Amino acid sequence: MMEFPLKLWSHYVRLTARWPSIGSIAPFLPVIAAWWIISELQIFPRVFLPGPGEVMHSFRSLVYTGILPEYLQDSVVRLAVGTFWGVALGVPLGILVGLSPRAHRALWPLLLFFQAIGDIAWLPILVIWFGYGLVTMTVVIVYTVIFPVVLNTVLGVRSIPITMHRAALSLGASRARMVWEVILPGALPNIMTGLRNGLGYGWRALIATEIIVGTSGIGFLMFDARRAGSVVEILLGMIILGILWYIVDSWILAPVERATGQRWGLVTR
Amino acid sequence: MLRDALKSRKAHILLAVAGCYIAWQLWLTIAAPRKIADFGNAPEKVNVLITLPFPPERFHVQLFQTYGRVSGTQENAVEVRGVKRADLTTVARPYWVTRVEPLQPGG
Repeated sequence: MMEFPLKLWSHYVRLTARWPSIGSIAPFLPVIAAWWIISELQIFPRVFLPGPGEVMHSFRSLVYTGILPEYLQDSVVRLAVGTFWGVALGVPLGILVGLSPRAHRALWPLLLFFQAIGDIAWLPILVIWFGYGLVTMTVVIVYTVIFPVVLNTVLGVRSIPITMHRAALSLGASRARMVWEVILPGALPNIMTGLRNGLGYGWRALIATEIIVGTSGIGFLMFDARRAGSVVEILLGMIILGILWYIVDSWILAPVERATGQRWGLVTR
Repeated sequence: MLRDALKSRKAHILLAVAGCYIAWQLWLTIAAPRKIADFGNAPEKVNVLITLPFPPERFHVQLFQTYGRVSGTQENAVEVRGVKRADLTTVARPYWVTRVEPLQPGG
């Protein structure tokens, strides 16, 4: 009697040993099963809580009509553009603040002040300045990404042992080589941590911005579905957000963060 | 570091997905001109009828408005007036566009 479950379990263990990613799907199965059972029992009206099947149908329909790919692409491009500028501005600023005591004195209070003003708090004024468009969304994402990147870069620069600086200087390294070969690689694990946090916040800010000022994107899709009372599309949007962020974080950012940490001796296997 | 990252199975899957996406985009680019009917010696701006495999929704109408004036919809088609001939390939590029043809006078 116990043979079948044991066989099933051993099959699962072998499968996840070969494909570890399948192991990360397993925790979702009880959640989906519970959702399916609750919706089938119609504890809540179907209009308020549709089942997984209806969400899948909505997914197919939105892909068929081209709406979902277009909106998804818009959201991802916005996030990529915002992240690029957030990193391009944040890393040099973080290195400057981390290296120069004068820059630290001048900029640190400003950084802390503006960090306290949430990204969404900027939206009303940004809409007045730039209108309901891409610029507003990009500014919000850059603003969201930049603070974790700057603060973590400062931390990374300051945590590089002074002996490293002295060793490089005694070997005759110029200022530029110091930054390129000692400071930047040394701060890289912290920069990656900052980027990982910043992207997470940026992703959420993007959705909120699309809900408020967007004319396309996943956030817009969800908010637009509210007008039609389509809970299916709202749920679909939420699922897509979760899956996409899971892939970006655990498949791209976390391995790079781990690799930089291992490379610079902060984390061992 | 990069070499190690590229060796992982997740990286292979992501690269395969990226490869498929690029191939798909290339296919859309190649397939687009075949969806456009012969416009002959039409002027610089043309009136077109864009056929879809389903009734157009607000999203499709709004998208075509960026290329010209949407003057109405038929069953599975959208009428767009004043589209630049240079934009016809872009209009035909989405996979959900099946045909782009001249809008008949009085249509």
